[in-house]
Amino acid sequence: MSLQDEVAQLFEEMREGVYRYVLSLGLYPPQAQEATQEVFLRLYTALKRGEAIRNRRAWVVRVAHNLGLNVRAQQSSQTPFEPNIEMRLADPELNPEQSLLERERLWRFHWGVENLSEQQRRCLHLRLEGLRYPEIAAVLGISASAVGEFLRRAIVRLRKAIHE
Amino acid sequence: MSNLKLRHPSDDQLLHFADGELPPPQAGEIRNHLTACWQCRTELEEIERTIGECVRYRKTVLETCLPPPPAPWFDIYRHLDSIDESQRLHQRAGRVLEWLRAALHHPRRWVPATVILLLIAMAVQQFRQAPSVKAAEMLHKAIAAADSKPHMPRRIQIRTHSQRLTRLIGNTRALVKTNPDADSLAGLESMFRAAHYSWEDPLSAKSYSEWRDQLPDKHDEVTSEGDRYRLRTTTDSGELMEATLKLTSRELRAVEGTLQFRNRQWVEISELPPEPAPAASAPETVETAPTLPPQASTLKPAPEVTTGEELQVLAALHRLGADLGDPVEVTRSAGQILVTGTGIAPGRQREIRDELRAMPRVTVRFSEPSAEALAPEGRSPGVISVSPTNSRLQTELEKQLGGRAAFEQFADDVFEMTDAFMSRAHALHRLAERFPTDLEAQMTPPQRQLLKRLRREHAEALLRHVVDVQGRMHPLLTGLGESAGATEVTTPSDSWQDATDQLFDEARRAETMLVAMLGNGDGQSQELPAQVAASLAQLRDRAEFYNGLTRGR
Repeated sequence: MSLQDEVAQLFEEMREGVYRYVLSLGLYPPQAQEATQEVFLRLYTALKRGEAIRNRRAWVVRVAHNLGLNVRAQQSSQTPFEPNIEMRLADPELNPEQSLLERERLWRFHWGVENLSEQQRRCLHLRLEGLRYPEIAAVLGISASAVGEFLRRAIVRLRKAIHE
Repeated sequence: MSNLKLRHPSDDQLLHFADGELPPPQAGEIRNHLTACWQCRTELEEIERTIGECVRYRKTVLETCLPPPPAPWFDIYRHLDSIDESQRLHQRAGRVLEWLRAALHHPRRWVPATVILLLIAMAVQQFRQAPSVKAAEMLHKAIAAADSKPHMPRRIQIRTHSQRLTRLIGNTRALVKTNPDADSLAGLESMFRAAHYSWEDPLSAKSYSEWRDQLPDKHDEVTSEGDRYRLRTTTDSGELMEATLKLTSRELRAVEGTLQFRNRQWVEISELPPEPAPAASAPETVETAPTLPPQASTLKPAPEVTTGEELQVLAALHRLGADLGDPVEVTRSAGQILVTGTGIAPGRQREIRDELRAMPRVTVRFSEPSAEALAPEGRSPGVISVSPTNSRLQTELEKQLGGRAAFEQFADDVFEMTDAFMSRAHALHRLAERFPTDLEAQMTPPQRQLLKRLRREHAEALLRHVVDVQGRMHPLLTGLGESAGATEVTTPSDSWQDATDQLFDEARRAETMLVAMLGNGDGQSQELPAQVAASLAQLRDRAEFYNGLTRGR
């Protein structure tokens, strides 16, 4: 498989997840998509330069994280993007296959996620994208044990949200 | 961990276990424990169930409720090809030029060199006659080439039928008017703006491309002239009816351009040779608008970079807040100051470049993080002890704060404040390392003042954050029967550098204590609240002492 194929395959696999993660940083969809695409071109350039990137997935998320935060910082005068998930969750037409009970459960869980601290939410997002603790630590610039702690507290809070 | 057979693992250990984050021996112990313990197995199942909910949430909510990308994903292969092509072009051109340069030094190779030159000429001729060369592609490559190089300030000349002016590009505040007619200059600027052509950087592939891209109709020509490509775009739309741009064929650098406006005005823009480096006397006017390098008729060898110049670069980064966590390094290298950054987004890179553009002899280079930068930290997440004391302490804390949720919120807030004072402590530590006493002794008084100002700003912010943490922790610690108490700050040696080291150590100690108490850190003990109270009090006293030192000297 050529290097182009490898990067293209990774792009195919990761782009939606990276896009969602960048959205969660407050970027608007066009910027989030542009940033996501940019990350994979940078990966290719870095690999072509001969940089030894042992964990490409972690590299991609780390660069996406930095890029996203910097784009956000540049637009600090603009309100961060908020996807209004609540409205979509409440709309039965958007999810006709979901029962009322299911929607309520999702709603509760969503509020649980919304009420996590920023660091807890980021750790959770990144873990959901398949990153290991040391990789999340590298992305967020904290220690791996802190990642474990943030995740533990996130899980405890979410458990409560489910059972409430 | 060795007592796992007797004790139940904490939920933290179970989560690490579920996530495969424990070292094999500890994972083995927990696995054995789980075989025997219904309670922990149920606990683990609960954790797994919550993880399962997270995965379902991702699928059913995040993947369906978040807005999809607004446009189809780009064809990545096309862009990767473009990167390849751009690199090939540069490599090929570089190799040929290198070979020709070598050949010209050896008469026996003149013949093949001449043949090569003829072939190149033929290729160029063929290129010239090619009916359609994609202007967009060439501009794209030129932009990529420009972005890959450090953005140094450069001088350009703008000529119209009535005036001529020289500008320093990369410094919007500095504009040299050979003909200082402010009104006509403003008129010229408004013409550019009306035509949607960048006035800030009128001689660049990017500006040309941005103007060209917004045209609804256009006609392009790309020809080759000597060692340059010439792009010409004509249009029936907008204020500008024709523009040309000349790019060097090797580096694709924009060196000349013309603009023909519909009102029959014309503008010629050309690149001027770089100015010689200014004298090394470090200006102390960091806060004021940078001035242009002095006009000089003869080139002088670049003097060594001074501490003052380096300090100005740090001050510029400080203004942007780029000394508080951005992975930016400042080093001296062969008569220049090298500012490097890893994994920094283009927007932030631009900000940093813009801030440093007017500073002579500053080279900015950005790159992506290497594998090493992503390597996990040395700390193992597995070394987390099971501590009944911790449970008792945390139960007590939860009781005081009104429940587990309130405790977690409280801990989050304190950790955020801790991050804030640690970033200041790191910034101060870097200053102390960079400017040791002997180097500081060589500084001029204004330079020392500037350094002091940087220190003072960090120190004041650090103290504010420490007071915040202490204020937040105080009721909790008092509830546990601990008081901050008076501490004794051992007077450090004379230098602020030593004082910074001590402050940094103190900050780290307080951070460790806080994590141990509110997180699930290592080595917890009954004395932890007292240690936290003492550590915070010590840090505050140290920070106040340091502030006094910074104000006084």
